[in-house]
Amino acid sequence: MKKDTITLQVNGTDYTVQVGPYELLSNVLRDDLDLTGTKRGCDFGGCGACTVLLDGKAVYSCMMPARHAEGHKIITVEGLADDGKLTPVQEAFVRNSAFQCGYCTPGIIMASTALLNQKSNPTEEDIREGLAGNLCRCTGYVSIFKAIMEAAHA
Amino acid sequence: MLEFNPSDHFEPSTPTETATLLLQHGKTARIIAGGTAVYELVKRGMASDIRQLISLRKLPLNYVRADDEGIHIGATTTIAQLISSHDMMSGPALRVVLEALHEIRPVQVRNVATIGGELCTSLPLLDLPPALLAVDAIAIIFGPQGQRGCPTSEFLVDLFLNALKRGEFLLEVLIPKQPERCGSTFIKFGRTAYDFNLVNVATRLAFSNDGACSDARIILGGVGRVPIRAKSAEEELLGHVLDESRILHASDSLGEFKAIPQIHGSIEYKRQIARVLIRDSVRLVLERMEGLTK
Repeated sequence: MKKDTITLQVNGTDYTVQVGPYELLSNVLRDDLDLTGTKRGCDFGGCGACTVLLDGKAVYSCMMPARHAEGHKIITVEGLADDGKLTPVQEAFVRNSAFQCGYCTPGIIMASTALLNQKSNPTEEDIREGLAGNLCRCTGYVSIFKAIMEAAHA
Repeated sequence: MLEFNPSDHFEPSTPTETATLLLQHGKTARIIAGGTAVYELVKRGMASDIRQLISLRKLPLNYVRADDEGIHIGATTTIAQLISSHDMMSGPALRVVLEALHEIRPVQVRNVATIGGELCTSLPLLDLPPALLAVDAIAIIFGPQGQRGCPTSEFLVDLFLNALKRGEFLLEVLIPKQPERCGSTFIKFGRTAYDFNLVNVATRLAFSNDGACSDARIILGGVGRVPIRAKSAEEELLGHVLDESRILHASDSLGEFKAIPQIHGSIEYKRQIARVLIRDSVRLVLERMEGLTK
């Protein structure tokens, strides 16, 4: 397969990777860059476990061709904490036990971060809308909503 | 992941270069913008014929601008960008478009899916195409013969089939100036807010000074292979001041249109829902018009 060299800026670092004509961002992040915090869940653009930030906005990395992310700032869950210090969203998730098995958590934290980037004081309706693309089969969402509300007011 | 190994990925930087590539590769070439439509095809095993991906990301087609003709929306403008441009679509006639945009979920898809993909995929389960038909939007197409306009009502030909000829691609969507005294709405009916629709309706009505309905567009999505114009219902409304009996008359007039069944909705069920949605949408437009004149 013909491959091209592209440069992706992930968590503030430039990475040069070889990609085929249709290489998905989630595969590049996990398999080439070893950033396995981004999960593959449904792998069908529906569960949200693969959510990352592209220029601060939530996208499904399992749906996005890696080439389309070139020239944009990509943030994965590994890129949130600053020198080991968790973000207010991450801290609120810990305080509220807003996870159980944890598989959906990186995606939900990324979607929550994107939501709070856009709406610093979200309503419950805003949270429902912002998290409509993320599934959690453990928590029933109550603790997640509580954590986001708490993070917004931190 | 299902096997999908295209041989090439091109990123042309001009419309002419794009048309040349499409002409050169013909049916094995596929335009890609946000990537959500191609992804769906790949996951459903329907992309095996695609050998060349032609990305529009380097073309300057990401814009929303208004002029004397109406509102021009570049083909690679995302759903999220359109929602952010709501000020340009603030009039009651274009509320149908804004409401359809808000039905496209989740945010992860809104941030990458484009108006071009919504239209060119020619899939009846999408929300934006019926709304574009309801406002008489025009597809501006670029190809080897230059630029041409095609009404969106003629652009969608059949399931997965649009009016683009070999070498052509969508440049922009033009929403023309809307009639005076016009109201509109979009109603989606699906299994969940997150799912594709089962049935949706995009309704735009204009009224003359005496209050009679002077122009009507009632477009049903999800029921046929392409959005269907409910002409019998429109005709029942035209020339009349709309009271409850007239509205019921219109929704009941919906004939035996050709519908496609889905696992969550039989043909008869969809027909029944379509009648209800027509009725509710006309009532809602009337309520909004009364609100405006008070």
